Amino acid sequence: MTGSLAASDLSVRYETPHGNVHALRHVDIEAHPGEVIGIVGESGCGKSTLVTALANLLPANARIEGSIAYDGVDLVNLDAHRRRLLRGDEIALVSQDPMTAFNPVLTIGDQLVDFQHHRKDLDRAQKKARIAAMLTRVGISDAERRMRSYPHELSGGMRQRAAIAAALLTDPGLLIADEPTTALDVTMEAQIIHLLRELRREYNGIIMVVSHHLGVIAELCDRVYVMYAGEVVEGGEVDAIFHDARHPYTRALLACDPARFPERLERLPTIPGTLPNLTDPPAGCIYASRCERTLAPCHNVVPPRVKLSASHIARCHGVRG
Amino acid sequence: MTPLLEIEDLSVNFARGGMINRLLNPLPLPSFNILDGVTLSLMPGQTIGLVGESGSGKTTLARTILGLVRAAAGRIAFEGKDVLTGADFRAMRRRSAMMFQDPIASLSPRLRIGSLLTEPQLIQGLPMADRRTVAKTLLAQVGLPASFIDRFPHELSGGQARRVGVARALAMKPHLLLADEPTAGLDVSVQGDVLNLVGELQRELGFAAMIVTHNLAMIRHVSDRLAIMYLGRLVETGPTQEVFAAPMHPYTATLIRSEPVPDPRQRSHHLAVTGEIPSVFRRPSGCEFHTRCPLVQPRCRLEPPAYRRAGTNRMVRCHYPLETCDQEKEAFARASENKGN
Amino acid sequence: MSFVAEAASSGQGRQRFPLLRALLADPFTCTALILVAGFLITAAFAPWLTPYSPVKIDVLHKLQPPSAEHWFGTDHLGRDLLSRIVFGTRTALTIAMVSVVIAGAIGLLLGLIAGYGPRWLDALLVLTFDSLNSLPMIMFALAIITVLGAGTSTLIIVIAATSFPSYARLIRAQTLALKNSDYILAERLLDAGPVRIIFVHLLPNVVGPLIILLSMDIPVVIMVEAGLSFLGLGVRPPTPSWGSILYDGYTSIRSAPFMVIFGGLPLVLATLGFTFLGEGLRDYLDPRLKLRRPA
Repeated sequence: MTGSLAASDLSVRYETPHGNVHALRHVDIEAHPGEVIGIVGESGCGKSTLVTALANLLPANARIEGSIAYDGVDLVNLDAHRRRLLRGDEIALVSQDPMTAFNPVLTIGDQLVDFQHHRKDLDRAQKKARIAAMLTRVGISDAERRMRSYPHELSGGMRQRAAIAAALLTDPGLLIADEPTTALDVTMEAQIIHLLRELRREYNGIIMVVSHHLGVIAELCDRVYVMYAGEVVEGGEVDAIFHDARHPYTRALLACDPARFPERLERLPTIPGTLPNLTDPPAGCIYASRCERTLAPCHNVVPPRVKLSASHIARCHGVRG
Repeated sequence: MTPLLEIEDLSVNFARGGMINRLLNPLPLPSFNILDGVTLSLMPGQTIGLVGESGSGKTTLARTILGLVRAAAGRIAFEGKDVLTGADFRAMRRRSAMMFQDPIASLSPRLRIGSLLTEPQLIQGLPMADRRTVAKTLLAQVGLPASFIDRFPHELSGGQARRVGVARALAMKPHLLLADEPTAGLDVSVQGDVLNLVGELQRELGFAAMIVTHNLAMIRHVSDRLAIMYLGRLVETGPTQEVFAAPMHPYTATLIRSEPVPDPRQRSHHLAVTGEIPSVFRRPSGCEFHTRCPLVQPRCRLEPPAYRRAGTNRMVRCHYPLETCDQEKEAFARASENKGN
Repeated sequence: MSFVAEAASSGQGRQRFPLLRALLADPFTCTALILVAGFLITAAFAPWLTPYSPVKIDVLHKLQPPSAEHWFGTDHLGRDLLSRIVFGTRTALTIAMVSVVIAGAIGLLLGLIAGYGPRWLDALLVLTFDSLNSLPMIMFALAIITVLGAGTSTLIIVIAATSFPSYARLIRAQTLALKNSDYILAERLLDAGPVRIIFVHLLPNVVGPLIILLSMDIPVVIMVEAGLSFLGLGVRPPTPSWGSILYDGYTSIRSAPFMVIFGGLPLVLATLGFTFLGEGLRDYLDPRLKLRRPA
């Protein structure tokens, strides 16, 4: 099954003893089968909350509003049982540290057999055959032997490949890769990026890449959403975001990445100021306190979602569609 | 001018098995070179970037320099004098400082920032009129409000804790700063902040710095020289701009080409390197990079290359160093075509 | 050293008495706190709380059941049971707290030295801990009593000597885990001496679990004291102790069962009180361990 994903007006708040933390506010995101969607932002931007909301893994103190529709079904108001089914079959997650995704006392092969528990039509041998094929597919040579290995016997890059194989075994319609290369060395990172790029050619679901690393996003994604302090501030085709960014935050973020300057800089650019307090978000634009070009309404009027082109949107008072 | 720090043929071994194993085993257990024949020098006021992937031995090198790890062989000289005894290392540590990878974990968790900042002076018995005043001056120097004096380390953000780390490192006016992954875990908008601060203080106080990192994009803006490590050996050293413009060792070229480019128009569709970093316990024969090198020749598998001078101020450990940028590009393109990826 | 003193007295953050607030929030811990406070007050004000002397013998009124005159009745020598139990609280708590504090202090110091000191010293100390741990407590108690004679201080020595090795092992394990942490490395780079590292940087970070363990061990020690006194190896008569009250009750269980009931009740309540308090402390200081019962 493949379907489109659409989160509309999605808000998540955490109820804590120190007040409600509005971790996600009025987020609109859509993704279609065959697309690679990027979610980029720095720490505290809400990307992990978005991932946990999509994967239905929010903690008990989270309150969710708005809707997440997958293939026309609203995930937010689904009963627990069906939501669990959907999560196992349709939405798969590859996390930053694949070590935590595997049980350290079981072999990779046994765990990957368990991951297919919903496939009642296959017997154990068939499941093992699928695993071997999938491990080979993600570039693990000697798959039969690797299936008998324990997670700690694999290198970081190998574990991340195995985690991707595990995610793909369930034939998900949505594959979420949450910081898939952050824990890896550069040469391993390049290999995982290469692998994800190869996989998308034959995979017809949605791949969502969540990262703070602009390079990873630029290398992999078709469309990108830029998040800041719990809001999507800009979204569009990857080329538009990297070459025609309109939101001041996107521009500042791009300007900070030292990888974008081949010549040595005496001072590295930064974004002055700090994230707003999310227990009491500001009345106007969320970025106003750090923005370089604030206008009169920025501090007290929530900026509209400005449509710049068919796919390019920005939430800013300073842009005109 | 004498170099501030000179390292010659430094090696660090790690013997496998504990004390009991050694007692029970009649044969000497094999030992493994974590560092092997590292030769490096650092001029006063200069910044060197020590670059490598995990397992390359870069953190071990930093710790060996300060005497936290015992060297099996080699020579370390600081300000022209050989560092041999424990007392020598102590004297050297008084003139150097270290910034750790995890800034919060490197601060004693039950002490307040004020006492952490003035601890170096207290330990070294320097006269202090008033600890609080000294602490406040240091906080001001790294751009933190004086009220931080009463905070605990866990109450700081990553960036703030790094600033405290800088203040603590520089409290004793060191001649050498060793920074282990100073930007690990920081957002891009904050990492510049910390590096700018270190740079400013370096211009003001004139210390030399050794920055251990795997972040190439960052290091090219802050270091004068680069030293690239692979499996405990230096494979290439040279001025940063030159190394980036024309890497000589295929591994350096690989690292530079592997870095994701934040521009969708420059996506490279071939893979610079395949395979995994070998373990130091199973060091490949000959040149240790031959298992992954796209330009490997038969000789590389058998004969370890010497670490030799290449050009005026560059060193490289390769039988067939890449001569020019164009050649490198061509060779890489050919090699990856042949692999038929 | 003013900052160090500040650091040591830390813990008060924005709220006042955050520890007390957190402990009172949980009903079990709250009950435990009330029980423990009750026992402490009883022990402290024993002479003012008791209607009779705990040692005054009145053979004419022996083994009297509870009455308005003697709320808990009298024992086989006609002593007022309530007074004996109240004074017994004093004995029990004194012995338990003193021996636990002594054992804790020895364990803390030796554990820190074993964990941070050189390897040979560690090996030597661990060997000592293990040898002491392997001694059967009753045999050890008998041996010590033979040398020193029975009595309160002997009891304290026996309990402290047999319980400090487990505290030392706990502290040693904690210290070993912290020994190579970044902040200890950082302190070593600053040339901090071992004394400074042990007392300023290691001690405050390893002492938390010990405090929890100590408070949970107090009822164990009370039980040990009662047990040894029951066997006649502990507190010498006529000093009142819960153990000797139980023993006296046991000998006349058929004629006066109330003695065992009233004698056992404070033991049960003290055990519950200190154990729940220990668990409350643990949940507060180390929330990761919450709801996991000790093996």
